[in-house]
Amino acid sequence: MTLLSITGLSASFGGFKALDDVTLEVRKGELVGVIGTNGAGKSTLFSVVTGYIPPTTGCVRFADEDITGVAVHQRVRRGLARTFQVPREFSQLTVFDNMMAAAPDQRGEKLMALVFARREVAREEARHAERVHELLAFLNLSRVADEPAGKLSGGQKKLLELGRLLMLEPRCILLDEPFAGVNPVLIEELSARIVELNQRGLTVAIIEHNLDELARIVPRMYVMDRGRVIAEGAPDSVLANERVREAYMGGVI
Amino acid sequence: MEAYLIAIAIGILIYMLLAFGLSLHYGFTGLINFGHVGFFAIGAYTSALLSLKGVPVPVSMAAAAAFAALAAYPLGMIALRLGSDYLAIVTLGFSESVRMVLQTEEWLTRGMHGLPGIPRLFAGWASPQTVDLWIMVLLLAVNAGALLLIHLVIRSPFGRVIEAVRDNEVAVRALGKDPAKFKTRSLMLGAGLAGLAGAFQAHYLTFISPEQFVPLITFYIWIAIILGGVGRLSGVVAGTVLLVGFLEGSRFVRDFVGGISEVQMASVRIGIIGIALICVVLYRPQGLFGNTSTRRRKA
Repeated sequence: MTLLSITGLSASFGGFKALDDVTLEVRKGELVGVIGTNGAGKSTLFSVVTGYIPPTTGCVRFADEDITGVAVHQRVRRGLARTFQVPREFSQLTVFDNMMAAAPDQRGEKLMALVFARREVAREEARHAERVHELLAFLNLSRVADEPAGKLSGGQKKLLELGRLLMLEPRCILLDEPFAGVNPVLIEELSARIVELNQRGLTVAIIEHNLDELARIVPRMYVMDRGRVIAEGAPDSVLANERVREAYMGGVI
Repeated sequence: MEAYLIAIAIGILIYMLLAFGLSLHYGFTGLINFGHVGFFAIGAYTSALLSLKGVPVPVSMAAAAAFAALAAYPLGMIALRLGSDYLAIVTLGFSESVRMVLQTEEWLTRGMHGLPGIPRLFAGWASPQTVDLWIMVLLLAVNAGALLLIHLVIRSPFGRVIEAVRDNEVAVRALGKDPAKFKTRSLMLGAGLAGLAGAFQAHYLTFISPEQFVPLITFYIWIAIILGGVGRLSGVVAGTVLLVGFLEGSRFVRDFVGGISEVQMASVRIGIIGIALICVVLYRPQGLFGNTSTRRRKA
């Protein structure tokens, strides 16, 4: 079953066509990769899909609903969440509070509830805190729970961002270059977590530059070049494709 | 002398209430509000006009806080969808517009003549000698209440999200929360405190006029929270005590140092504040009471 489907999507900045008639789909429970050189349009694709950039034409459907015109935060509430290429942690908040801030639909976010529903707010906080500790343990971040997030290493920030998304209990996550700027040891850890999450039923799409790592974990991938999808399939067959070798590796390999 | 100290204390406490509001805006939500004095003015005029119409002072003061908070709502809806630098310009324009309206709508505000004869707080039941003392005591209690309120708000889930908005607004949206909503609530709450401060100003001075609400007031409050330490409630207290204490207290200096005119003294005071601000920014950028660490996790 298709969870996320993108049809004929185009986006332009001035005269530059960053996305040109892109069509792809992500099936429920799938782990799919999107690769491409710098400027191929991968990040733009994620930004259009998640609502940060409006498309010029085309349509984005999520769970059988057209979400093309839906606001960013509303898409997230429907279960479509993303991370960023450069981590966007809440730098002055602790790792624990970064996670807590992500909890959806907190009653304590309403000022009135702070006055009139104190007990419920406290109960809710305890429940969220429990979930945060579980996730921090899963992501191996328990040790740094009380550290300001700004002090984490690049790889830890990526793990934290993943953790924040998991607080939302999303149906589909889009990871924008999760392995960029992460040391090799943490890359192993990060990809193991991603695979594990996928095995538990979470749908995952990954944009990546790091071809080797991605090819190792995804069963299916798309290749983009100059705003278009030029190939799709299992990593082996995709990487053997003449056009892909031409575009991605300049025909060197 | 005693009366003078009480007057200084009242001045400090009114500014402190304003500074708590601005601290919520800037220190905790990251909103660059250059129009704080506008909420102060709205509060002062609301309470003054209502009480002159015969509304009991406690009621008019509550209305002042509510009305200032309401005034922040449309401003928030318009401005908070803009980037932070635009918000600075819009808020400055807002406070100047408020002042212009107060100046020109003479049928309501008597324009530049100002509003005289505003009922004094506690005028009914305290003797003229002790009225100021009581106002000071009430202001102390109100400030303690504001401190407690902001402390609780900051510790709450709401406070966590506004601090997240300050640190990275895009990421807040990526978590399915609408930053504009949180910024509006923060703006309204801080504006309410400023409105209450305005009401105290009106019922303490018993005379208000538009020139009491110039942008300089906003920037004094900014200086106070920067001196004390942005994002620290202890910094708000220390910053306003230092700044207003110095502004008021330095009037004395002229009595002991000869050969300085009133005008020269005013310039010297501003100059000293400028130098102090530069020193703080250079040698202690986190402010006197700021530290580089972050909000403490609840145990």
